Amino acid sequence: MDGRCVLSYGGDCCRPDLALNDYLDFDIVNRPSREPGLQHWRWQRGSAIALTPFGLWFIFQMLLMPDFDYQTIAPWLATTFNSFAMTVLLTTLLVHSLLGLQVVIEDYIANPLQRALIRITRFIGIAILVAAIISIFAI
Amino acid sequence: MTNSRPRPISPHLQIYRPQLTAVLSSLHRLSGLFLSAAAVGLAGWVITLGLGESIFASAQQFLSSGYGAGLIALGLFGFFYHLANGLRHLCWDWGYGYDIKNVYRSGWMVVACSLTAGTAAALISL
Repeated sequence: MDGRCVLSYGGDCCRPDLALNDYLDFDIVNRPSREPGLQHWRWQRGSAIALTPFGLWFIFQMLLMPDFDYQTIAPWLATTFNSFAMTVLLTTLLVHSLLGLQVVIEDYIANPLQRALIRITRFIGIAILVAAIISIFAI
Repeated sequence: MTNSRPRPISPHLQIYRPQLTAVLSSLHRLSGLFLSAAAVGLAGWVITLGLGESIFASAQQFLSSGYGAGLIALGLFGFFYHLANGLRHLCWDWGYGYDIKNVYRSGWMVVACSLTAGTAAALISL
């Protein structure tokens, strides 16, 4: 955090009375940005492009899977490439999903509940992702 | 006040004839919401794999039931629809296909591609 001022959508001045964390106009890595909408747009398109090959890879792998018992799936996920690809898939899925959910919440739910819900979805999403990644490497 | 002729009102959704563009747009959001839930399910599936053989087996038992197969099929349709329409969005972002004729043409292409891929994948998944 470098303490730069963060622009909100409507105004052209920063609000020194608000702590940086009071703005939700962050990109996904919590970097304050002068162009929050642009960062949102970039992360959404970037994650969409990344999800195309990784999502298709996962679905084809599952459709081609001969069996779905533990003795087949665990060794499949334990290989270096598959565990790496699965980690990338789940992470980009989380980024893309949180950005999409944020837009839906912003469209239908008014403040202050809106801000709370966006934070809650981010918190839950990141918690689930961390648990999933730990599981991948615990196998 | 004479009110012989009713004043025009703004076009509410209920009286708007559904158009391909609007329907596909809502479906994109709807499938996105469903796929977000599916992503949580996918993460949960991976977590059960880490929790051990017996828990994974019960997760797998649910997925192979009728409900599980239905959810997977719905997820596959949702995935291919969201993917196809997402690629359409990316084309727009790069400035292509933003005239009415091409918006409709690409819209019907999305319908055809997602139905074909979704049906094929759902049949293979059974």
